[in-house]
Amino acid sequence: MSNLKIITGHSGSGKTEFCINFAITAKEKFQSVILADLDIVNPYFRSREREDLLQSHGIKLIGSAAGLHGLSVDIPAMPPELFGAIDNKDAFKIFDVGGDGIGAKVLSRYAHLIKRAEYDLYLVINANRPETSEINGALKHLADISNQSRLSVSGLINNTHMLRETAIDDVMKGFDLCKKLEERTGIPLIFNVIPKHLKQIENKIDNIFVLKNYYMRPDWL
Amino acid sequence: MTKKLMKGNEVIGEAAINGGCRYFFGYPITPQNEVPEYLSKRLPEVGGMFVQAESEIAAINMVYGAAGSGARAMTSSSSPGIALKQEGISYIAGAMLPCVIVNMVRGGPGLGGIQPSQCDYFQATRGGGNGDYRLIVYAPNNLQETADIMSEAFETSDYYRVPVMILGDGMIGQMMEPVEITPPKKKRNLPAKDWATTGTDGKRKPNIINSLYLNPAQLEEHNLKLEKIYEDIKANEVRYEAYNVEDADVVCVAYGTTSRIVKSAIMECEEEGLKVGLIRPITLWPYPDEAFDKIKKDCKGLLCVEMSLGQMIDDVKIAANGRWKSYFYGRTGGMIPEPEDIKNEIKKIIRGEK
Repeated sequence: MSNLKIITGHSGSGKTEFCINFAITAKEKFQSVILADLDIVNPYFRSREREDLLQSHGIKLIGSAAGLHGLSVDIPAMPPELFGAIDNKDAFKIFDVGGDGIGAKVLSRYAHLIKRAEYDLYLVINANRPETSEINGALKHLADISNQSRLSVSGLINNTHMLRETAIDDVMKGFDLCKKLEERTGIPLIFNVIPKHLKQIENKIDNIFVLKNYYMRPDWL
Repeated sequence: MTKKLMKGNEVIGEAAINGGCRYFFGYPITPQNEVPEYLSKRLPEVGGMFVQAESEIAAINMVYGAAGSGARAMTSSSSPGIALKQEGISYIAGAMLPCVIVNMVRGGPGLGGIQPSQCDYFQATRGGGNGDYRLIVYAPNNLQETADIMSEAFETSDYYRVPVMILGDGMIGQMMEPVEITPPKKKRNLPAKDWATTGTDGKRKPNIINSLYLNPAQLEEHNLKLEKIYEDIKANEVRYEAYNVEDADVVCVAYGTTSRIVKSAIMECEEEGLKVGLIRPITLWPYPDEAFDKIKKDCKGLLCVEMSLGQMIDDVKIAANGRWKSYFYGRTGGMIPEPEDIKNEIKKIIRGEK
């Protein structure tokens, strides 16, 4: 199993919320966890905004504005620590990549190093997003992201939700779509992401990842 | 269409098409970039046209031209970009052309920052441009409402021949929510656009789109004609949400994103047995003065909450008309108020400490 997990997907598919939850869950198992914010597309709802939260869990954040504690400096640049992180064999690393093919492009600059290390590149699918609601849209995003990143997608994450309104039907809709995608491409479905209130789905499908919290969404929203 | 999970800026784009818009002219700026991005992809699919102009000033003048030819056209930007458009907006208002302008407000003044703000209230409701003119200004507080308002905006603008502004903020533009985009509910009986510059075919006098009136008597007549339209709008287009206003010891007033935070603070107050109401203007102009008439006489005060240092508070005071004391709480520069802090302000008013 690789200890470098690269999270990509359509814009607004829920990558960052998953990454924060994934990092906090991983910290329960691994001594050293690094979350790298590689989004150079959108300055809003970024993992770097949760630097204090991550720090309190002992998770190291790497990003262009890391150390600035959530300051939304709009710098489309990657810090040099990223090189070290890719080669760091002792840490469990999660790369939170920007949306769509354009967001995944940032990976191509590191592709030669990433290929040398062992890695997994996951594609987050939210079947409730208009552009990835059916197989052709999802295939197009998969191709875009592979082409732009110059890396291959090794797993699918079903993150089909309607925020606080998420129902079992939503998760199952995404599950069916990901299974179709798995059939067509041979890329396996790795996780089905669900909110806490849907735990009963556990006897319907495997590979459940339960969100601890909506860390990116304030309670009033 | 069933519910989809969409981002605010995408909702603006799709709802504009739903409302009949076929022409977009704009220039990129955070936090509204997904509006032009979305429309650049979608407009050609529906026979429309997207132009990324060389500047905001060019973009609004392209809207002026498209609207003058009778087309449904729009632009969108964020605060400093909207500032650049003011001359064009004033020309459009003067020439009585319908169009829709979207402002996803960010912190200011000047270039400011890129985080959400409500510091363009004055710019939107007092006219950033010159002259005696008004825009119909809508401030939705969730994405379904954004979809519905945006879908109807072109119809409303065509009906009155007055530009409509959608005043969001970075949060409305960037957040995600389930949305269903349905055909506009309110269909109006629209007069033919016999003023549009569509070509005379040699059969009629040319139509001229203009806002220049050098004869003061004629300009006054034109101003009075506009004023009559504005009075009609005041009488017919006011929209607001009122929550527990009649019985409240404190009435909060907030719009857009801030109203959701205030609502959350009010819920917490209710758990403690406090009676707190909310007036949420949906139209910022015309302002919902009538909503205040339901407040009880011995209400201890009004609390206006904004992501600014106090702009809508002026309209709250005008609407209150001396009947209750008006207090203000705000965060600015891209900072978002916390429900806890609003709750404390409410309690101070109840305890008479403000």
